[in-house]
Amino acid sequence: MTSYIARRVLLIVPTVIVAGVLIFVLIRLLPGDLAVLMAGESATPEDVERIRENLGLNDSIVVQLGNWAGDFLRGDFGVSAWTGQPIQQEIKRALPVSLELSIGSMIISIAVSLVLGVIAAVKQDSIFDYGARVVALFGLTLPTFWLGVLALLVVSKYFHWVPPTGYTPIYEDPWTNVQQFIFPWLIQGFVLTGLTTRMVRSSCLEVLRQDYVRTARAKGLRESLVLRRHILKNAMLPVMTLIGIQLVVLVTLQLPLEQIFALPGMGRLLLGSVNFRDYEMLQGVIIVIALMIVGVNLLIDLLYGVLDPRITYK
Amino acid sequence: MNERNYWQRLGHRKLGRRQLLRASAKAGVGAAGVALVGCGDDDDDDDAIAQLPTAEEQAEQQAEQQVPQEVQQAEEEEVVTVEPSQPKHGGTMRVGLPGDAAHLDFALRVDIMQARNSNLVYSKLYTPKRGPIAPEVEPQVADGFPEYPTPTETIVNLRQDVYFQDVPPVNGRQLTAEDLVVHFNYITRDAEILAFNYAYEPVERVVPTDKFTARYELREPFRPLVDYFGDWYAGNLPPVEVLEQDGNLKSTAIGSGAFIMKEWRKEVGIFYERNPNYFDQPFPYLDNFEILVVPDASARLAAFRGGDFQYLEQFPTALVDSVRSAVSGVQEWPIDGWHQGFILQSQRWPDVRRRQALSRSIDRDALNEAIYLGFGKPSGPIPPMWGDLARPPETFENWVYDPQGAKNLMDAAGYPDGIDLAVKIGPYGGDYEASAEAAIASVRDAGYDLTIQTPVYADWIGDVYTAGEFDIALVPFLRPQLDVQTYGYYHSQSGGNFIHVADPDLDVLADGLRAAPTDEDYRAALLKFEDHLAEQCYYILDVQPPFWYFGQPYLRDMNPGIASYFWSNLMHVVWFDV
Repeated sequence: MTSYIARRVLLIVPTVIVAGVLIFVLIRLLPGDLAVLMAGESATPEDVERIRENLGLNDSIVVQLGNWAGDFLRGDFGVSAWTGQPIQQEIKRALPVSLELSIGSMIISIAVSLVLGVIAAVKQDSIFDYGARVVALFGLTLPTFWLGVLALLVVSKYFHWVPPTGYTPIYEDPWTNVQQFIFPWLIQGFVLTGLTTRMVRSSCLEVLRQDYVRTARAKGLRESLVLRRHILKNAMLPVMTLIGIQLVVLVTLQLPLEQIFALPGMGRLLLGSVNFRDYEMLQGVIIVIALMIVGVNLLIDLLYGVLDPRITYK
Repeated sequence: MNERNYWQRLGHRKLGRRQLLRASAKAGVGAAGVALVGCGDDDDDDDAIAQLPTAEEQAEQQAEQQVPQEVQQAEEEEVVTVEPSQPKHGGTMRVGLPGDAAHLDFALRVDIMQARNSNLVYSKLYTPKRGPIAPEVEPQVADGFPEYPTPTETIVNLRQDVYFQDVPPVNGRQLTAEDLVVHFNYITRDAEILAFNYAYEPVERVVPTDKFTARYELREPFRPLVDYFGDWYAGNLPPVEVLEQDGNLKSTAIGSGAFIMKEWRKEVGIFYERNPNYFDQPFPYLDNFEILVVPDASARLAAFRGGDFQYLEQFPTALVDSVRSAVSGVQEWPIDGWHQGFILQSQRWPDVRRRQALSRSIDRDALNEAIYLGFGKPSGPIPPMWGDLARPPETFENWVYDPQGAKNLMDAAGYPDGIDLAVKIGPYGGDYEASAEAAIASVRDAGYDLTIQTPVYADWIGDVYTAGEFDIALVPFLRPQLDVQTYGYYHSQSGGNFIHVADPDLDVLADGLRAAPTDEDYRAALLKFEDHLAEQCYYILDVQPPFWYFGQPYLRDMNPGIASYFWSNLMHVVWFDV
């Protein structure tokens, strides 16, 4: 087990190197020039050239890549071309917001999906099944930005209230923080519920037809025990994979909700980096995302072993 | 921002008699009230702001209607009667803006958040005079208007009661003539790219003659200098201590303005408090000011509707009815906005008849009605925001809608079958995009078949403003100095001449404007300049759009105008009538 984990951790290194090089090259293929943007509307071509020189953009791409890689290996992500702030600091500011948003909505999604999915499977083709599937369908089809705008419209119009605008860390003011996050949690949770419920339902249906479930019932085990020990545990394997992917995606792709509810998370950091062609910032953010994907995948793989004793790692 | 910490606030909370009375009254209201309270805002907020009633406040009002008579009497004893028309201190203004500042250095590239921050924190020698049009400035920290002992000298006297904010490392020291030297040196230094620093090109140096007087020595007569002192960007006066400490003004903003910047939380907002030592007492009236970053327009509208924001600005005309219906008694101010129109890369448009044909083919009145509900103003060569210094388009033959005349001009220029061109449009959206499409549809009558190209923002700036890589583009622009729209746009030696005009006659006229010794001379020179522009059609303005500003019913003395764009000379006078 230990050697397996060590091998997987070592594999992170080439993964990050490949991701880093790809990102470095692809970012520079984006249309738009950072130096022009920084110079602004009143700049002359000479001004732009001066900025380009200062930023090292006139160096060959190999030299630029070498400089960046050298800094990165020393643990230095660089500084934002615009703000001059260290990139780690910017990521440290945005990541907790996205994590809070993701984890909250995941909790809601998992709790609701498990209930709906299991009921839908156990009571297949009943009114409960149809109800759960309709809810899941809505979750799959309604976009978060639409739900977000609708939620704000309804509460502001009919209750003359809106969640406190902006972001207040939970350690500063938990009540304000909860008010700021409650709608994003519910909306994102609802949207995630769609896919997860369907996954739970189909996994459960598959397991329900297995011989060991019939055997368990034939042995006279209580239905709740059969459900918990034999059905749910086995059905969770594909669901775990889905949840892992969702978590990583959520951390980076919640831009619509971040925009609507004014939450300064990773999505907005990413968008700002792209819009302003802040190359180093963009590289830093994507590398962090790559690391998260690798880390979560490793975690999910290890959890397989916990859920299913037949899976062992050598 | 210590008091923003919930736990500290909890520790510091004192339970007053009023709170006790309210609490006991609330307890009797029942579950409905409690439910509403649960949806409401934080009752413990020390920064409680004057707003429209929130759900919680409505619950409190219901509760108070049911309190026993003696309790009400006890409360009434504490009520301080204030005449509704008397300005008073207090309240927190909360405003949402779509984006955060990249940095806070006004001398570098400017943006929407940064410019507003500068106008809250810093003072200027002169400031655009509040009002519907923009041609005048008035003294701010200057003591009266400048003196002109010779055509190349401008003497400025400072007020002696102006102090910087009492924040380290400046610590509330007095503003002196030395600060004018620091300001000039900072905004004209060579080290970095500076925003609009060409405005100070004619100034040779600044020499303090005593503690509160400075002499600006000019290379040539430069009458508009006083207008540039009031510039939204380059006019702000920074303290030398911050420059010595940080080397720039990117993250620290300390000035002598009405509000002290308490905290800048990246991508969240900027938080201010009243400057108690502001030289222009009793201003400012507001205790606190908060700019929140809310990228989504509908979320800003919802916050306004819910009473969380007191003020909305720059909403597209298409959403005006939504705002009007959102808040009962909402105040609205459709002020003159930027000017916009087609710019023609002059080197690629040598034949004046093609330019004139384009101008004649734009139906400015129809465009105004269709896009701006008639609230815009059809524009001549000098935009209407300059009041009586600008003449309306019908004054000029080439600026009157005349599709047949336009067609004839195109025939004469050798284009009887019209011409296909790509027109570059900036990625600004909203009214701008809608009006661009309408204008493009309009010029088809003259044979101009324009295809829209919308580059990404970086390419838009690079191609249009820097490199001149365009045939025709539709640009919005706004500056508070007429000199920018005369010398700045059109003089062949100007850094702001992104149209690439090289017209010797226009150079002479623009130089004459800068050197005009009196107001009368200036007006006479401007008439000639405008006539020449109307004939040559280098920058074909169509309609000056309105900017829509909205305020809660209890905002007083707001009255934004084009001169107070970016909140220049505006927010310190605003108060809440609650």
